[in-house]
Amino acid sequence: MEELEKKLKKARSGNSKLGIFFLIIAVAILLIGILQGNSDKDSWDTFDGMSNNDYYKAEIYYLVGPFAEYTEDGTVVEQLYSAYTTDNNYILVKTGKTTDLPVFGEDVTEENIDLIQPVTAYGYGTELESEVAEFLVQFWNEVYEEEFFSMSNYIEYFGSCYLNTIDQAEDKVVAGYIFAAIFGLLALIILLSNRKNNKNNADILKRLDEEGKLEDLKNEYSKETVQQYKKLNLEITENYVISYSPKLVIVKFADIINVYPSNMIDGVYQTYRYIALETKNNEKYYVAPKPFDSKNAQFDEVLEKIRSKVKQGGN
Amino acid sequence: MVIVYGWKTNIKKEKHLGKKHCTNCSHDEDMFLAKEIFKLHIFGIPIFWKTKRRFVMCSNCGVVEELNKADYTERLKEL
Repeated sequence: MEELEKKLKKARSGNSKLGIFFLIIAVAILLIGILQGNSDKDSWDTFDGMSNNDYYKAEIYYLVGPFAEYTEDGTVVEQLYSAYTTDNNYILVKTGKTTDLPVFGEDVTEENIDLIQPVTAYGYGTELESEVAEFLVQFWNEVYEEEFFSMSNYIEYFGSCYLNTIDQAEDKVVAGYIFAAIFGLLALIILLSNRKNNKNNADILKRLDEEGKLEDLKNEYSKETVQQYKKLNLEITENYVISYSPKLVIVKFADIINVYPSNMIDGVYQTYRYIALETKNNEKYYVAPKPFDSKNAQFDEVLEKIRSKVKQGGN
Repeated sequence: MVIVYGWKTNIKKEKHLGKKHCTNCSHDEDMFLAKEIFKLHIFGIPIFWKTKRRFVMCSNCGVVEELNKADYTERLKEL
């Protein structure tokens, strides 16, 4: 009896665990997103040119360069500059195709250089690839018109990392919100469909109880005469057929007046084959789904068993 | 570029055979000569399709009698 109740409870709970799991993921991503979004950028550490894998800020007077450009289909999409900071040294900065930071030779000239106010740049510390570092060395040697910088000493002057101002924390927060929305939507669909299933299952059990059949079924279930067809999610007791898929169905053999294989549900063609059960109350139930083309000996066995039980008047 | 693709199985009812007694479900229902067609599509445009089965279809229980191509064509011509 306990086993039946456990199974019915499981049939009622359905995929709620999966729905709750998705909901927890959605809430967790949302919380991380909110926390990241609320983090005060001004509290970020100042970029020292040697740090990576975190967000940093830098007070920049102006950019020099670019010494390297990234292109896509011949169009510049990203640029790498050297940047003169309020710490009176250079760091490396990656920008997009254009930048709001002042560029030496464009926004900053020898005449107005003393009037320039620093601008705060925010970005993600990223390791500079050695192939790109060669462009940096080449650029500054051309500026100085001598071979002063080399691959062995450029780190002392510019650091080994650049501040990627394209990578903003907000972008990750937005991506997080999108993921949270996807997981939230999945959770909502699963939980709503589960709620509908639960209601259907509760109605079935309530009706069986009202008709006095539930106790009868529970007693039968404890007699160890239950035949289980796991591949079809179906069980046959002395007087009842219990199907857990596609939804919970419990029908007494004595109530069944017609049994046949069907691949139509409510007039809609299915690629699955079911056993249709018509009852004397003009109700129709579909049990034991199997893909149309698959061989499943249990399907034919169950069909014959139900037919024979129905012929015997449910006994 | 994101490629939107998918597949589905359609039913094509080719001939109405009239209301007949179904030997499978024992109902008097509309019967059809029908084909089950598997379709693969990209951006909603079918690029490949294959007839999986041809059969006499009962509008209550579905496949009643599967037919081979020759028999199906013959039955179509008879009507």
